[in-house]
Amino acid sequence: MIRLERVTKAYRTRGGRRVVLDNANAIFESGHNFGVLGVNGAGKSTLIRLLAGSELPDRGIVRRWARVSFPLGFGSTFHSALSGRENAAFLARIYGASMRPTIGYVEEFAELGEYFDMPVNTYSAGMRARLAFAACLAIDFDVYLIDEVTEIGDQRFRRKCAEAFRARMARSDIILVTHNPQTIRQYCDRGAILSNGALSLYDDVGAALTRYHRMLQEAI
Amino acid sequence: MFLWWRLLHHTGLIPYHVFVHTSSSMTYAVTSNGSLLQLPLVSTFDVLFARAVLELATDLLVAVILLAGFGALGLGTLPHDVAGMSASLAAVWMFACGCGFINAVVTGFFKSWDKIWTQVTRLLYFCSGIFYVPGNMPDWVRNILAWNPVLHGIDWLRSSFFVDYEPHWLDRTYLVTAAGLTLLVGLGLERSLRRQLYEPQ
Repeated sequence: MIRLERVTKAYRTRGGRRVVLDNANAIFESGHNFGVLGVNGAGKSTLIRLLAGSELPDRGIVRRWARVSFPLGFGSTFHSALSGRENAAFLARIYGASMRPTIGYVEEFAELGEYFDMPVNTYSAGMRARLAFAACLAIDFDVYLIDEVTEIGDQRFRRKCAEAFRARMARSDIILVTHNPQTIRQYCDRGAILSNGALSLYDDVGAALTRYHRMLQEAI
Repeated sequence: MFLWWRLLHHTGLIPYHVFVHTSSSMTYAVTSNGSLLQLPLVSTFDVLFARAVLELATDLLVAVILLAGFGALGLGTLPHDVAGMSASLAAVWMFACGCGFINAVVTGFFKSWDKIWTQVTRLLYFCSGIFYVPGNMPDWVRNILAWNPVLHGIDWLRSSFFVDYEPHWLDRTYLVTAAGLTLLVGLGLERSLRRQLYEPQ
């Protein structure tokens, strides 16, 4: 379970203060998978980083009663001068996972071949994403935070990721940000909408999607 | 010439480099580790402290290699008080860490700070008694130079390197106090402004 208590988060931008969350309260219960919806720039990635703990709220508390993953997204969590293997070793070490099996899993899952021993800054975006997926799955988290990176790699790799996540979902939950309603329906049973600093949770993912589409139409 | 070289390199440049390398590279530690900071377990303090340890280890290794090399050429001298030498380097390093934490925070709010800090370290090169002994200076000059904590670090190291060097202006407490105060301010600033220090794009 992850609980947001009176969480406020804002950014200073050129145009003034941009509020992502304004005194938001929410409970992401365990045993459910949440799909997070919101227009571009609403702060979905920021929400994911707040849930992960990569970023701290301006005010309020984020409490976690679970082992929460690092945010799995386009922003890399790797040290670019180190190789994939070294990064996997580093992750295993800081998360207290055993080294050898973790590195073995990442090497096999990411399918980077000889690039696994090359510095991450020589990787393409797709290779980075594959490494990130593999590293995230290699460590046993209770909650996986995924930020718009479900469409990576070729068909085969995508299927492999989907299968791995489906297997993992038997004991772990995911909180997923994506623009693809199909992906949300596929993985999530609950929904969340982030708009204008408010975060509303829906017990039914269908209701959340309907509400979100109505919001988009009203905006037009 | 031989003495001058020992003065310059062994006892002047080693502590000066520990100070400059540590305090300067901590300035960039947060921005250059942006992706690692995405990991919730890695905090800004971690990357700053890791950088400080890395710089100290590098400088010590370089110093050991160079001293061994000079020794092999017959130009080496062993310090008469290794414990004192270590203590002086530790004090200089702690002062550098304090400055480094402050630098890291200031850079977070004022991007050009690293340019200014580079100028400060350049000035310190001439004001720390690296290639001269402060004793050669007129009293009034030395009284001004003695405000520089790095100068005390260098003279402290010299006093443990050479048997008969114990300058009356050397104030070890001053350097340790300066280190403690900058560490207190630097760590305090880092803790209280951590949220603003690092904003992922």
